Amino acid sequence: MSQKESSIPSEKITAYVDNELVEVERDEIEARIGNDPKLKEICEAQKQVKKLVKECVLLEKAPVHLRARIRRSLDQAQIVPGFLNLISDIFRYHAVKGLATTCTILVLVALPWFPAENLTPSSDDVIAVKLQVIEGKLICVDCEQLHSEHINSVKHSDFHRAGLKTSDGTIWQFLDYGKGSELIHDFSRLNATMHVEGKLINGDHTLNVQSYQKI
Amino acid sequence: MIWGNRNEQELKRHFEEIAYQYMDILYGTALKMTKDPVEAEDLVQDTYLRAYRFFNKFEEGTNFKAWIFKILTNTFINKYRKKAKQPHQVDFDKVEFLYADDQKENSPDNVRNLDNDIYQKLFDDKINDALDKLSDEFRMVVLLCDVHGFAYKEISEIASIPIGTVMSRLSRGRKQLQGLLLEYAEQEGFIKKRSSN
Ligand SMILES: [Zn+2]
Repeated sequence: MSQKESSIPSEKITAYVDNELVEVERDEIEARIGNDPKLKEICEAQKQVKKLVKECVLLEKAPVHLRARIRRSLDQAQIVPGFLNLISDIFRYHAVKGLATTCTILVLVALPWFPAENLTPSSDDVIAVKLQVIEGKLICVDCEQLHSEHINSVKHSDFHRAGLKTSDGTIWQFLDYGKGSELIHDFSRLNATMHVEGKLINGDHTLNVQSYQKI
Repeated sequence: MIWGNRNEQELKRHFEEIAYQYMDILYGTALKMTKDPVEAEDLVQDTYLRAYRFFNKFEEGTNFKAWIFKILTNTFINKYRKKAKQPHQVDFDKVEFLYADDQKENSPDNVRNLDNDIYQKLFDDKINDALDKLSDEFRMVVLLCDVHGFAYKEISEIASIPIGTVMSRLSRGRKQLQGLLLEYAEQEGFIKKRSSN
């Protein structure tokens, strides 16, 4: 078996199967497939799995009463723009669990009873939110990961998605909301060193950004 | 901007016009994720309520389907996943043999056995069983990619994970599916029967 074949990461084969590689990379894989029956079989097998899922996984239709039920609940709902942030906080963070270790400075925002019909959080939705302050370089999370896995050629649309890489190599993502959206979508700051402060989500290296500052 | 000067009733009608067409696929996906019809209904209802609340954040002209799937996914992860019953955990060491990075484990014989006409016979049910056995993370990306046809970039936004993670979850998810399907094929004697032909 050739060395070349084993050098293709399985993620790249997957991207090929999904037609997500750029043309040059796709051509390269196709050329290799031409000379390598085993690689061809691996690709074909994955295509089969994809096809089977597509054809055989049937989604059940919504029960007829669901639409009426949702309409009723929407009728009771009111949008009050000023409350959006609060609602957002409740529902994005009530599941916050394990908390990471970096500079923890502030503890516990106990949210009061919130008088909103069906979205009223139950008592276990009252949450402890810690603010994290992280410092690092603003990078594109997609570019960074594709690069670290030596997959530089997957289509990465026209825009980057900024996150923060700390000195220990951890990559933090931002919630695409409020201040976080400003950071994520403004590429002019890429490669800048930043202080970012935000609420931790799900212990998953994701922050809901409250403020940031270029150093 | 959707908020603009519409009144609440107009906004609600506008929302319903855009959003209700996705109810079936949202419910079908919710059912695949929760594996419980009651929870699936609750999840879809929560999704619609949240989508409505955040409707002023949705930018018209952008992809509403991806946007509401993102809300469904976040809602599931934050609220329903912890309640969902733990599926039988698949022995991944056993099933991840087909695209194993070590090529020695990539037995061409096994790969060759993944032939459509064998599988088609037994997999209408089995593929659904196999999908149920994947972890939530893997099942979600496989559904988003292969059933709903979202592009990697969209899945990455919907599931709030980097594109590289989308790829590795898809790769591993399909690998596990393939292993499970092979197990079934062996149990049913399809592979043996075929080899003896
Ligand atoms: Zn990028």
